[in-house]
Amino acid sequence: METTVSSNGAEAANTGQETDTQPEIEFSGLRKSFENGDETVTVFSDLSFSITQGSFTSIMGPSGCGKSTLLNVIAGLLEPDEGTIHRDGVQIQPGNFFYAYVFQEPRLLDWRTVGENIEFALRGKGIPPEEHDERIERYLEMVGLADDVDSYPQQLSGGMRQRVGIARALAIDPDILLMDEPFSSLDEFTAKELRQDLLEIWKETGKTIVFVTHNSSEAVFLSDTVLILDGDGELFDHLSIDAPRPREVGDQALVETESRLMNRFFRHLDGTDE
Amino acid sequence: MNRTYRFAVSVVALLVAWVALSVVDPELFPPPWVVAALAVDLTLYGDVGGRSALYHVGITFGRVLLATGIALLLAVGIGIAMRVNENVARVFETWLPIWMTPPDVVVILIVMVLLGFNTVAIVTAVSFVCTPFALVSIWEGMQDLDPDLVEMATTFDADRGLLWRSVYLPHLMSYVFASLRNLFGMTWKVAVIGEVFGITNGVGARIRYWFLQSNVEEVVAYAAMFTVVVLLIEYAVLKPLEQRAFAWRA
Repeated sequence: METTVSSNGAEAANTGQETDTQPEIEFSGLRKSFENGDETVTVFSDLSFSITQGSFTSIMGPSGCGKSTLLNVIAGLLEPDEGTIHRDGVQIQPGNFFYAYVFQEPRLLDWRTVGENIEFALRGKGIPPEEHDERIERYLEMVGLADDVDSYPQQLSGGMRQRVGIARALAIDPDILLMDEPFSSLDEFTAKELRQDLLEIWKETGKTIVFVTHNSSEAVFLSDTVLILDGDGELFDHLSIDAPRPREVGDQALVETESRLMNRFFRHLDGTDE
Repeated sequence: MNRTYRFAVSVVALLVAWVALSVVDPELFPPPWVVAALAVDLTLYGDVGGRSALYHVGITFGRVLLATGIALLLAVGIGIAMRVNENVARVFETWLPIWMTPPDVVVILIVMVLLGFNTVAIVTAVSFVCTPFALVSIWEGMQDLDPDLVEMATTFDADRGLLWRSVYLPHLMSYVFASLRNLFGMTWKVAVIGEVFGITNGVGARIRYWFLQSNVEEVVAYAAMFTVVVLLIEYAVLKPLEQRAFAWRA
């Protein structure tokens, strides 16, 4: 297993089979701070990393380290104070790529059926109406909810609602799927199932996924690459996970990778790394 | 079953209390059967002046319906304007408490002096008095909207129209129903006060007439008839409408 450690400003690491031929999105020198009264709180600064198209990248770190802020900057929901984004070498504006967001809570419209919730996203994105039914059907089937098109969200379990959220995001056929701790409010059994299914969906659609989590085993299990932020919003580690797929929860290689990751994380916190 | 049972218990309790009061002081509290008989009588054979009680109840009901509709439309309209424009919000937030303060009777008298003793004056006065109370709950609803849903809509590029149609207005529906119910409870009382002051038809006019004759029975009969109408609206119209509108609730 190859892992690449780099200090602040990790560049694209050697990710095994995926070589330079794959297009990438490069983020360089991102900085974001908020005004809080008189003082300025810097969430992160000089953050650089790149995301390979079609890859599964996790951004991991403790609560409050700025993971979600980073995702919002990627989505263009928040303006970065500094930094540039390049796609295939061409500079683009934040949020100026076709993304879809899956939130921690499903954020469905309770007064609309499952199908209508997906249609809401399709309309927002200006997808031609004649394609709606076909897309709703296809993506609900993909997440295993083909029979629930006419159900209302409150009639579904938490896991099913989160599946609707995923179907809604996929239905607009985005280039990048941004996922902000989508399984963290589910019970572990449901979360485990959804992780498996997410990998299936990823394989089937070939989407680029950026996945925020504070759960290290989740990050290791799902990802090709894990970017690790510490409590100060510093990107201090960059881990490629080359364990073969399909993966099983509890695979020896994954467990070892995870414990190595955690060791490095705590050594970093103690200031004893490098 | 459970609900029917509870309903029956409360109706029986009300009747028992009423009968008990009528035993204590039959002059002031005519027993329910006397009132019921009188209501039937007034309906079938007409009140003094030849008009059936139904005519007067209908007239008042029409005014109440009109005033309720106007108050609700105003409240929703102003609520939307407050959400869209911060200045509008600030103006109404300042003036709302003041708008709710003047005594109903004062508003009614001033409006009647301005517009004359007619239906237009009553509807205007009632709408003016009741709108701020509906607006308070509509505005509360506007602020209760989960900002996360708006953010979700933003990530899917929902434009203003879609946002209002699919997020704001459906969310507001439960507050609209709550306001409607409160309005119905409120508008008819204010309307009757208005009718008591100088108008020749409607429940309030008959109450004034019979009160001046010192006849409590007729006064109670009219009040009871109108209460029945309001309850009918609640159970025959509002409840089923609400159930249909909120079918999505688990």
